[in-house]
Amino acid sequence: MAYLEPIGSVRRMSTRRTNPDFLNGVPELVVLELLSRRAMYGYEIVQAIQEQSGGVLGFGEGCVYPLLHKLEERGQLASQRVAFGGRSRVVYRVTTPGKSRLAETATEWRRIAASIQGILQGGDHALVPVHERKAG
Amino acid sequence: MPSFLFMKEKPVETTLYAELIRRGLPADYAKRTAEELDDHRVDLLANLRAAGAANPEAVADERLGKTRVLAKRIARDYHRRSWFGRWPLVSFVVLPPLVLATAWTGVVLVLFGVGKIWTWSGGAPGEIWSPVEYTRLSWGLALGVFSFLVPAVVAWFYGRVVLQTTQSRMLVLTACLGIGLLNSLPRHSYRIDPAKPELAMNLISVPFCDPMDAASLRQLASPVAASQLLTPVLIGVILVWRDNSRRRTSLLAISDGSEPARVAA
Repeated sequence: MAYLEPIGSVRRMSTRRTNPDFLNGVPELVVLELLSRRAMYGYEIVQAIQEQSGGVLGFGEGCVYPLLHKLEERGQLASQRVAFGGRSRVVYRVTTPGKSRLAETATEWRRIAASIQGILQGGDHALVPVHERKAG
Repeated sequence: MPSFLFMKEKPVETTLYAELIRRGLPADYAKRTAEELDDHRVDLLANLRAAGAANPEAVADERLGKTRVLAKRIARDYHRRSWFGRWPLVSFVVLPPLVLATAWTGVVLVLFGVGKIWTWSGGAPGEIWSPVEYTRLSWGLALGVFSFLVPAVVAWFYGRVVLQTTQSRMLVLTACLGIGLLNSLPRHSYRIDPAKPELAMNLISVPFCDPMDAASLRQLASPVAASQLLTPVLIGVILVWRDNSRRRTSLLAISDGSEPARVAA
């Protein structure tokens, strides 16, 4: 992932007949999930994403901030400047609307992931043309 | 006068700060974002140095992203927060004339209501035909209100919305031009009935649409129509000029090392 793209919403995912972007909403989900465990500042969030995804989710680190600001503007995150060892950091935490949003997004993501997993597991069967399946 | 070239010598925070201001983001938001990214860079550098990385500065810059690219994406995300920012063409090309038409309708309804009340209270004649002086006065008022005041107010408010949501000066001018084009179509005139020279009538005609007052290209090119077109455009130019001044002030404040001016768009 070169950049944390603008995120979609669960409503958008569930009401649209097509879902062209499977990663829609993933950055939001990841950030909300990490911050639901404990409050963190930007650098910690980026480190946590890289560590817990095993380095799979990589991106321009500066790009996490527009996402954090957007979630904050929506009321899903709250921020506070806190002193850390002689310096200060803007620490983010999930609000109650953010927790609700996280629950919705996580449910939707599990549904999509399960459906993709189902397709992948049935891959060999899916490759057999329908007329051959009938013949067999 | 300080040169913007000095900014190349400034720390990353200030450079990004200036870039965000240059892209039209509010000074408060640009400052906050730049500060957070600077904090991030400090942490990143400390960790890289602790890990013994070669050339930690370059690695940190690479991991954070190039300033211009970063600023572009931050600005894009900021603008996309609003509906107007996500749908700029619909918002600023299609909607402005519709907003003007709605404003016209609103003003007509208000004036109609006022006239009704006035007539009901016995303060004005109820007939369609009025004395010439009365008609001339109402023609002037109609021309001023419909062709200049209302479009100017609509252009002003709409232009400010454009600046606050997208910071695009081109879209401000596009929106104001759309308002001006629609505004240049209706023509206000009054006509004295030859059979009854003591009576006159106000007319609002639209080129190519009104069988009573055949329109022509010459009408569209008249000084009044040109003024109707140019009034909203002039408002747009003033808004763009003010926005340029605001950005220039903020950039100068940054290059001076002082706080940016907190001037609303």
